[in-house]
Amino acid sequence: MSDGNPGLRLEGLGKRLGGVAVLDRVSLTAAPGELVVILGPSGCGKSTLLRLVAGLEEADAGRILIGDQEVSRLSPRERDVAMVFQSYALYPHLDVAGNLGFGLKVRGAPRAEIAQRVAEVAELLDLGELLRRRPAQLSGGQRQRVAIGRAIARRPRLFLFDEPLSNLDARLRGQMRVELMRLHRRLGVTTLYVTHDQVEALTLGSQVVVLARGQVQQIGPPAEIHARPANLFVAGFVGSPPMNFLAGRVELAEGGPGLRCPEAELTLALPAWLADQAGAELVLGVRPEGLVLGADGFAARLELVERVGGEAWLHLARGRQVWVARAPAPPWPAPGETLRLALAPGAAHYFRAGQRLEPPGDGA
Amino acid sequence: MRGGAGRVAFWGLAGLLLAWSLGPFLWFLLTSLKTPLEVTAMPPTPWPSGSLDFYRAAFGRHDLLGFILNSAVVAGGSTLISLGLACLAGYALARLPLPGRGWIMAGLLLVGMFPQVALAGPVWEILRGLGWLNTYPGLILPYVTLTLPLAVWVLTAFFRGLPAELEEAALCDGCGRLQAFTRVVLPLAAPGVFTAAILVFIYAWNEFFFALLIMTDRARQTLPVGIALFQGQYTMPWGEIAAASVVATLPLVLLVLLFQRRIARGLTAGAVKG
Repeated sequence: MSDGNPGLRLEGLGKRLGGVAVLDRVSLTAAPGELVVILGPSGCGKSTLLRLVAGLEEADAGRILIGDQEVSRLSPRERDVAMVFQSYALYPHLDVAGNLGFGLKVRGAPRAEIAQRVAEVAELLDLGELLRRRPAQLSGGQRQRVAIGRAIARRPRLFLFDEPLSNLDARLRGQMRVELMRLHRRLGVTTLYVTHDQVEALTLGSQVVVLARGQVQQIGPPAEIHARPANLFVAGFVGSPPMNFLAGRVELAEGGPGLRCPEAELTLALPAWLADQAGAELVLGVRPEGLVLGADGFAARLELVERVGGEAWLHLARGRQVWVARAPAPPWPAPGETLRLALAPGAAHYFRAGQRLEPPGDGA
Repeated sequence: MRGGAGRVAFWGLAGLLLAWSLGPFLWFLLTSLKTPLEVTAMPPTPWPSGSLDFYRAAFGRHDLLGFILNSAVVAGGSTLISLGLACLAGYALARLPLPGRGWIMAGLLLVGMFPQVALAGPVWEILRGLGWLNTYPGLILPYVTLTLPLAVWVLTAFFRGLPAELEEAALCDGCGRLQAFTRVVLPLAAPGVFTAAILVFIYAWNEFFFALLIMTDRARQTLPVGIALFQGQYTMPWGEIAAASVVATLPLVLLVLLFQRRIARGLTAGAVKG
């Protein structure tokens, strides 16, 4: 607790387990008080990353800095970091008050201070009624709050959250997400938050780090990750339903470059700046929201209408290519109909060898 | 009715089993409450007159209290030392990334299966060399050695059953390894620790062979040996032996009844989402 509210910096972290690189040169920065979300599919190394920062495992390469202090070789105790586990990991032999005050007690805080902090946290998280209960007597949501309270009570330099909401049902998850945002704003402690849920990532984080196969794919604000995915992985992973991809070869015609896609039995016009890609294999990506239904465009057969509340996702086919488009308002067309699809202006993303292509002068 | 027949069979078998295991003990209990005449009567008298003479004799003519004390020291000491070591060893074997852990566990099992007769000679020689014959440590040392494998196995299994995240949470909360062990792991493993403790204590309390070999001094003998050597020059004092045996059995029965609840209690419920 030396410098009030330090940030976190990871420099080239590497970790191998059983000869496999779980993490590979992971670098990221969290400014003081910032909430950074690490988003990735299961097995991408995101939990390992948290365990390295907490000091539960030691990195094979790289440095971890909290504020200006390098903590890479320190024990968890010396790092003064609090972690909220996916399973909550409450101490079953202690009541709620004992759980909340455990960290303070271990660090030898005076009794009066422990009691006061426990009361504060109980008030903050609405746990006052439950202080004498054991974890076994609590509901999932209550356990979750105790786990968060235990982390808060100690006033650590850093919060680490390991998929804290994944064990809650959908309704409670939404509530807790809002509560976490409020707590973070109020406490202002630098936070690393791991999740595989993109809704959590895009709503909670001021920065999102997309991790896959142990490597950082992209770092940026949520809107940026969504609007300008750095590569095919990010493009396909972020967004629901996922982006449509269309693979083809760039051909030059008199009207300008076009993407010839045998799978979709289609040639799509490309912007002029892609003319120098002639002959190259490209992937065009377009989100369901970027497909416009209308009178012009190419024809596709409607296979399925997936209704989600007030809107619907239309699953269409043309050749062997499948498209998902958003139909904003009822009445929905019926399956079997042939519709016309067009790409909204600026909705297309272009990838070559998996990496995003940017128009010149539009600096990536 | 099928259910009725099944019930009768169940209780019949249970009763048979109970009579089979409790019968000898009950007979001893009855014998201990008889007079010398009743003990030798032919045909045997089923119901004793309730005399406490044999108990008085066991404590008075034989040094039963001394034997109890010796047994308590030896069994208590063995249990404390064996469990202290087994807790640390079991935790290390359950949690730390030890190379060859499987071999260590198998080796322990092997040691636990050694026939006592094969060990008796060397153990006696070692103890004589140490000058520990007829001393408490002289008996505690082999008891700890012989019970350690079992205790380590029981505790390793128990520690391994505890969620590792609890210890990690303790580490994050500021505990060192040892503190996480004493503050979180040990309280949760209490049922396992009690189980192992009772097993070790019962073994040490009942052990006869080594006790007979090592404790030749009558003043140092433990209960099983002390009682077995009750026999007089011409007669076998069955009544006194029965009385002493009942006294020797009581602490074990009390111990098991007392801790039964703690062993059965599932302390880990609610630690992590099941």
